[in-house]
Amino acid sequence: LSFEGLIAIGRDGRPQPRLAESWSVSPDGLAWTFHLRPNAFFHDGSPIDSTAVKASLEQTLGSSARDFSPGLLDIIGVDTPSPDQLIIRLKTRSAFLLDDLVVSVTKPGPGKQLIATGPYVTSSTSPADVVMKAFPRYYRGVPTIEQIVWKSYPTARTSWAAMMRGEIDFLYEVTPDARDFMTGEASVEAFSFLRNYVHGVVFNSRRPMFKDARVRRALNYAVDRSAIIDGVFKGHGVPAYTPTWPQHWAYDTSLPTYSYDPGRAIALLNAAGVTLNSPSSAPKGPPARLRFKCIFPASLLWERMSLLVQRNLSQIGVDMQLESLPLDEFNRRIATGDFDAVLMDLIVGNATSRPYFFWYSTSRQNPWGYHDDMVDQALDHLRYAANDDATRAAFRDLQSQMLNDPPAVFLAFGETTRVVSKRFQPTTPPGGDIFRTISEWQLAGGIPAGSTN
Amino acid sequence: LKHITSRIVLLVAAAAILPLLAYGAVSIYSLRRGTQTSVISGNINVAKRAAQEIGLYINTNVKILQTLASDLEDTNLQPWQQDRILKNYVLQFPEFREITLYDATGAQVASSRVGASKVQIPQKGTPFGTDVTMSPIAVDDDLLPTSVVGIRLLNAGQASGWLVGQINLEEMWHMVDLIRIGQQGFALVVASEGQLIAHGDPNEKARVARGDNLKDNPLVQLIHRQGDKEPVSTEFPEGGRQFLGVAAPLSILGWTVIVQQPRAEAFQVADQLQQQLIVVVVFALLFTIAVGYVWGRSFVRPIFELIRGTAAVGEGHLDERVTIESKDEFKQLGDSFNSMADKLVELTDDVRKKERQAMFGRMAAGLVHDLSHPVQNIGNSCKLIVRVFDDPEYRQTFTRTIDREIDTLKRVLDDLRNVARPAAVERFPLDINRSVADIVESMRGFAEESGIALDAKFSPEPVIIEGDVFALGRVYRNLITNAIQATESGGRVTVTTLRDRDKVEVRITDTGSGIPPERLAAIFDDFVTTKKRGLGLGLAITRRIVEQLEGTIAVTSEVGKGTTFTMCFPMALRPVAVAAAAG
Repeated sequence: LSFEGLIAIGRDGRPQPRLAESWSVSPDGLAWTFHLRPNAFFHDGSPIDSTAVKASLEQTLGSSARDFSPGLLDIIGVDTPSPDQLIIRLKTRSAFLLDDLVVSVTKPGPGKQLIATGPYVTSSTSPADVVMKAFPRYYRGVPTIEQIVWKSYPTARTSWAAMMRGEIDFLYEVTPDARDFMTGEASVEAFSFLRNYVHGVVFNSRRPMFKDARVRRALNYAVDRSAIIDGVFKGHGVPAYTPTWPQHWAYDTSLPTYSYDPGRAIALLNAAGVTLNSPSSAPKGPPARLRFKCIFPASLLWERMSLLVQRNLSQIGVDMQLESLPLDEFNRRIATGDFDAVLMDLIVGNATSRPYFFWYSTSRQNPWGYHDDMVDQALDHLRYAANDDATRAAFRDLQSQMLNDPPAVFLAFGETTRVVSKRFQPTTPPGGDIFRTISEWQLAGGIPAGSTN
Repeated sequence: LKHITSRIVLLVAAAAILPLLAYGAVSIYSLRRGTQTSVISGNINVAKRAAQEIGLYINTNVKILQTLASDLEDTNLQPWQQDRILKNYVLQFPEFREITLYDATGAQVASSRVGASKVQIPQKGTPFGTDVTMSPIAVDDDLLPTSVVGIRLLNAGQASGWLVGQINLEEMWHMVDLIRIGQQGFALVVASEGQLIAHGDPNEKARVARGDNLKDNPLVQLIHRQGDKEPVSTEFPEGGRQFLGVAAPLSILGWTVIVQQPRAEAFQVADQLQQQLIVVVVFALLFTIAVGYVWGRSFVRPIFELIRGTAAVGEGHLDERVTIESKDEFKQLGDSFNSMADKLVELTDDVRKKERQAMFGRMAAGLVHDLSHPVQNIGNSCKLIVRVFDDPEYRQTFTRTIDREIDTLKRVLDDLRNVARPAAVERFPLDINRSVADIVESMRGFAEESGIALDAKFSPEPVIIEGDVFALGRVYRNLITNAIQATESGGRVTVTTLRDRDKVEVRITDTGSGIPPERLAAIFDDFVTTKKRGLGLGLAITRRIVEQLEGTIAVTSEVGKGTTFTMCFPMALRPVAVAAAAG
């Protein structure tokens, strides 16, 4: 809510104007001209001109944030011919540039604080809560809600219980098992949408047991995705087979997918030479042709999902042992590669650059050691696509090759639910997230503006 | 007339309206009572069934755990095997949030949770059989109600550990949410200590999360007072509305299942039926009244017609007839009335004819009597005068006789003329004493001839009236003559004048034979007489003259003792001097 970039990416992957109200590209695709909004300001009141944006971009390129923004890596220079015009020069054509210009435009503030441009200004931060106040000079209008107080709860169940008690006005996320309660609650309104994160068991491709793509394909065939959607998301989700966003304009829905086929999985494992061990070899687990440990963040949602996958895999003689970890430890284990597999969710949308930094072989955000030349090639084609046709073809190649050489068992895209007190009338973007429009929410008739949580 | 109308109204009321009202009142009462009883009974059945289902839900969960426990007992499974079984159970039965196996020392052996268990072995609670305990409802880390079931495990008859399952009460909420009565009726579940553990009303579900305690709820108190055995019902206010609440005990757990519904909705059907019945009864009442009114009018109309006809006939309109259209007894009555009226006309005509004949006969007889004597006297005198014409004395006698009889004939003719065309009076102030004295003096000779004493008693003061001295003389003469004629020789006739304030009375009293009472009323009519002879015009003429002088005349009589005629005239307002001058 505090931060905003030059552009935003819609649910379909198309760019939308933000601080830049329009843009154009040179015929060779190497120079992009952006026209900045004349009425946009930083939270300190200073105008957002081309010089400030250039400084912000240079600061991003000089930080680790560039690892998440491959589209920015091709920038060779930024020109500021006028305060409201910015020209970005590239060393090569890049289809990722717009995707990654969603990075926040900021300027340095006192201490290590960053001065941003969004509709709300963070006024205080403490372990208990974060307080935000409406930015009165926000270029899209002053938000109706004057102050937002963010509180964190140890579990999702705790948070919706607090919502039911009327202690909070807005619940960022409701778990699927509580969704029905909240949608039936008369004092609140629930808004569900498909979250652009894919849930999956990602393998550590460096481990020998996962080197053979047949093994990974076998595990994909062994998982009953519809049972997971029913058991975890209460039916509110769609199955996932690749780390690509199914609502992206370039997504190819005609490609074959993994069906739930344990027999085929066993055949693939047998073909890969992964056979059943004798019982005595594993006193702490069942007899298994393959045994590995899967870590996941400690929560009932992940736990239930892991148990369902575990049960599926056990049916083909694969023993997936589970380890629940606190979030910090979980992140550390991933960063250090200390895992066989990890159950997690990965952002895949809405931009095409997202798969790039997770799955490109040399990406610094590829901790699973996944390397497939054809996938790299598809990602490169995606990155340097000159037009929509090229993007569509590259997207298809990426989907296809990741089905052939899956880095993970991608399970599902789940719906998530935001819950709002009926004191408010949120603006609902079509198929999207009401959180993104919080600055446009109105108050229900007759209720004075105040703080919300 | 009013009595008949009133009676008809009372008849309609008694025969139709009152029974209809009574029927309506009884029906409404019975309907309300019956419908309310039915609604309460229905809601109680819902509450009982909900209690059974919730009991079954808990019982089933306990049995699932018991089944699991039996799978784990005496099977010498490896911990990993037990672990997988527990995990599969939780996946298969979402009613459990967690199932954990503890050994006899309380150490965790296996759990559906990945990692350390978060449930404890229940130390106290509701026993389910010998080795099963359900903990009281408690608030968990998320401030939501929860309960734990613990099953003691045996190995070769020795306690070997516990199987503990945390029941997902939120799953029970789904069950409670499905219990709906009407649009606004819902169920709620209250634990033994009063904790609200499920609420079916979406507006009130937050109360579970708030940890509301309903031990003061009237239904909870009522069912506890009755020993948690039988369903109860009552009405109570909540949130500004009146609710119909029923409660059924879930005895095995000590819980109470409440089903409550806004009273207006619960009895909506009863209210609608009552309103419809009221409308029907009112409509029937109006219809009955309308029918009664129309029927009553048709019933009374012939009576009105008969009354009108009777009154008209009574007033002498003998040609009046009644018209009755109906074909019932009233028609017969009307026809009889018309026939009677026809007959009455005939009889009246006959009577009048006979009266005329009788009067004519009486007049003829009177005239013969009154005229024959003087005519005979004149005739005899005329025959005699021829023979004794030379007798001068007789000629004088003849002259007197002829004059007298001629006077008599003239009086008779005057009377007849007076009846046909009354002579006008000329009124002047006169002293009544003087006028009476003149007549008395003039008739004293006639009285003495009849052997009657004629006396006069005068008022000591002059009494002046506006009168006609000649007309009054005729009046006095008529009455004194009648009195003398009605009195036997030796009797007395007294004429008295007296003043009574502004009135003057003249009384003529005789000691004669008197007049029978039945004839007194008609003696002043024309041609009515108590005498054996005469036209009977004297008293009629007398009364007419008295009334022309603004006076009155009355008679009192007693047979054998005599008769008194009393005339009363108003005193003249003129001065006495004028009256005196006039006299």
